[in-house]
Amino acid sequence: MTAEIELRDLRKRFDAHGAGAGGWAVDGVSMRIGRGQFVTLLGPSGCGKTTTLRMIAGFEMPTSGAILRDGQDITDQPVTDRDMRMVFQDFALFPNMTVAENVAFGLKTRRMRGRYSAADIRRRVGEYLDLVRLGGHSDKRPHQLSGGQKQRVSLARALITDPEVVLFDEPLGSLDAHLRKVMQIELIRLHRELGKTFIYVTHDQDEAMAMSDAIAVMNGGKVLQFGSPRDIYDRPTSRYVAGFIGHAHIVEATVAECDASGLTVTTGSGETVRLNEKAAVTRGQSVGLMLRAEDLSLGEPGEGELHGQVADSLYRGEYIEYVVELNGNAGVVHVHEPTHLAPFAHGAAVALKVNANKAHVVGGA
Amino acid sequence: MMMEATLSARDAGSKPVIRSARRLERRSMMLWLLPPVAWFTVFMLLPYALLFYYSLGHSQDMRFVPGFSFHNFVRVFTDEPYLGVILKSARIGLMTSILSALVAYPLAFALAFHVRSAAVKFALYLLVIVPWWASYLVKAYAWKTILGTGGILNATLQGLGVTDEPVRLFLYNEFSVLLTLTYIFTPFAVLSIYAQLERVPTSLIEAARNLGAGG
Repeated sequence: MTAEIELRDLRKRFDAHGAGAGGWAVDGVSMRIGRGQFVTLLGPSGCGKTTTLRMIAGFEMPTSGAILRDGQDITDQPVTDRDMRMVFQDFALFPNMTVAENVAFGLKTRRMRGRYSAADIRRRVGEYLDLVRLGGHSDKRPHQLSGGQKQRVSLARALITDPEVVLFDEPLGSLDAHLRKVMQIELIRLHRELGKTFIYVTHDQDEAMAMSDAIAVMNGGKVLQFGSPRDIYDRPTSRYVAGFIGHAHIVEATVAECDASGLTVTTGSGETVRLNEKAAVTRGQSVGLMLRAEDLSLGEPGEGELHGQVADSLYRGEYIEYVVELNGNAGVVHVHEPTHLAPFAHGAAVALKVNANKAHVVGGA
Repeated sequence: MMMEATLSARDAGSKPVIRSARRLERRSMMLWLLPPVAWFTVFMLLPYALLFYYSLGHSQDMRFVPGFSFHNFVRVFTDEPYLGVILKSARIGLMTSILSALVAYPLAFALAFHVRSAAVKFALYLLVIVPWWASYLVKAYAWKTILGTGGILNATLQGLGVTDEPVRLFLYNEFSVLLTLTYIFTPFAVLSIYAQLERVPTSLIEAARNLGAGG
């Protein structure tokens, strides 16, 4: 796979009076993004994901590092020459233009002059409005549209010039939950149909998981892990990523044994858990045992590796969520149990069965 | 008001507490409105009404004779020097607006979009505002000392040998009036244009550049 966009040790520090004064907003980001991929930069606000995207677009100049496109250094290339289109969180539609004029904007700039006739432009605008399912709204003004419609206009405007790369800066951030789901499906469809490279910024992990080919989890200006959604969910490489994606519980443990088929860890309360994972750990190393709600099941005492007491149970409709306090002050874990099973009472002593194929350890303190 | 009062009186039985509280609130609001309304009436409406009353009459032997005639209005729009003076004022006003806007726009644009440093922005802003602190008359006189026969401009021209005698063309004509008025009103234009440009969201400009405009 050839990298279409490559970031080499990208760093950015803003001036003393700007946001994030003094510190590195982006602190050494390196990444290779292949042609046609849907890559998401995911992280909490202030993690440097938007600044990274804005450097790719050319709105911000990196303090150091380089941005390459098909092997060519484009770090100093002006925004106007980059042929990457951005979809903004606040839509950034021109309020003085109609929907059709907004969409046509990229075809009417000075550098595009002569490339499209008026008839071409009209036909193309119609096609792209249809593509984003906005046919019939072309004469409206932005203020007459709903949030979802505005974002569709913004999409059509970005796509109409047929760019190789489309950048998204939290495009669904200002939409309500339902519309966000609809637009997610829409974006996946557009990505599949158009085969363009999408680089997407969001703080919403569900959005990132559902749409992306690859996710870069960012925090403190650094990429903590870059991989497929499945990798990041099942095999996080750090406690931060494990906690940020899907709210995993970490139980402190020590490696008791490790061999070719897997490893065994001992928790603080002396209980042992067997994992079928081949992790690069050594005997005696302290690790975090990552447990996700769906990888655990409850049983009577003795029927599982870990023990604790039911602190709370919440009926969620699809499942019952038990909050279990682990013995030996090892923390609380949440367990999802099918609703048809006999419920466990509040305060009941229970055992937790760990799915050895899914349990995972993260190194470091 | 009458309508409201009747309504609240009828509803008084159902929600007496809320009604009376609302009435009290409305009454206190009226009290606060009284001074400005009185000021406006005494110093604006009344003088205008008087002026209008006088405009309908005419003067005879230096005394005002009340009447009902639009003769004065007809004279204003037909007789010299009224019409000529009005048109000249309007022309100078229009020219001043255009010239001020032409001078102010680039500065306001630079201030809004190109000056990044807060200190430089503040300094430029101050330079625009400071002339406002001097009175209109002082500023007009300042231009007289520049444009007059013994002024800086003539002294410079004579010193350079461009002309032997002081040039009288600079003062007491429409050119100098326009120049001075433009000077006086440019800061006003800068501030109002700047205030509007500042409100253009950065994302719109970025979106336009991203789509290939400018650059």
